[in-house]
Amino acid sequence: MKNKKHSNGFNTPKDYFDDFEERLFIKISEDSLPKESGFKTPEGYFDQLDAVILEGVEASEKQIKVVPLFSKKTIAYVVAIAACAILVFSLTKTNSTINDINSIEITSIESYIEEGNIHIDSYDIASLLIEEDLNNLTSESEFISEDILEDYLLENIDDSSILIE
Amino acid sequence: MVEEKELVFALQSISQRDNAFRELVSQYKERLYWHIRKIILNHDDTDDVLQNTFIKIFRNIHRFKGDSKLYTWMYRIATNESITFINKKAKQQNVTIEAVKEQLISKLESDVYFEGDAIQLQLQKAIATLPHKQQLVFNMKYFENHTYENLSEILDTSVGGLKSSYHIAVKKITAYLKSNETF
Repeated sequence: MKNKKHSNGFNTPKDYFDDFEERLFIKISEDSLPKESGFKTPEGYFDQLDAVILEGVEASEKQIKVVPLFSKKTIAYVVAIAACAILVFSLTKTNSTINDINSIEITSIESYIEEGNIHIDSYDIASLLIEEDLNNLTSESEFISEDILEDYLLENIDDSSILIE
Repeated sequence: MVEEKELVFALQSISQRDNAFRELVSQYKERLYWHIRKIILNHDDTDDVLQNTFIKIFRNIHRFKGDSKLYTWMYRIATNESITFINKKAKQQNVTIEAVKEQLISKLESDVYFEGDAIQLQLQKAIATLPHKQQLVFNMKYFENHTYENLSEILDTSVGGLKSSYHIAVKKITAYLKSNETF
């Protein structure tokens, strides 16, 4: 069938024939179902609905126009004052104890980081690496086996669009 | 029908807002009502949820950025409000969400605003057996005739995913109706 003598130039969308039976089956099934749902509304319901909705919206708008005791503005002032106080305090303190970065031992910096006292983003680290380092890094990722990768994806990826109910 | 862009502009301006909102309500009340009704099933609760939906729309219209269509944005709010309603009901009665849905479907038979015949009732029961997302996809595609592209925006799911959800839903419903043939 496929080795046609002449091509007529017509074409079909990709996979058209692959799921043709499926689509046909759905169409036939749909035809056997009732066209109407059977739900009704009280008579004249939609005629007076506009007025009811607008009234409801208006009433709810009146309800929410209450000025709170602690408005956003007051909170902002309090936060600003507190921030200034902390700033002044910390400035005076650092003046009295200036530390030379060179006087700190490398090992204590290491243990400080290891204990989780400082958060360093992987992007921050990446920005310090030169291209060669990055290439070495990628080749190491080949050591991750497919099983481990699959486990990771199963446990950590939660994309409902992938899971078709 | 006012152009959507103009309507959004008017809704977000102080002077034209109220009139524009009136227009919005009259354009979309029925479509949103039927969308909510298919989830909530009874009229009175649908009426409440519909009003809350419009209140939410009114309050949040200034946040609408126009990166989706206004009507898909409103459908999203209506869907969320409906789901929230069912979840709240479940919490109040201290039962599962599934139990609330079963209650709703069992009351359908005696509902004065449900005039469906035996097969229409069976269809609603069949829909109720589907997982939530498939229910939404089926109702919106079969009864409300949304395109897959619009559904994709409203439900934040790929067109491919929606197509297979719909196909699975139709198959399950057909199977349910066949095994419960009493008419």
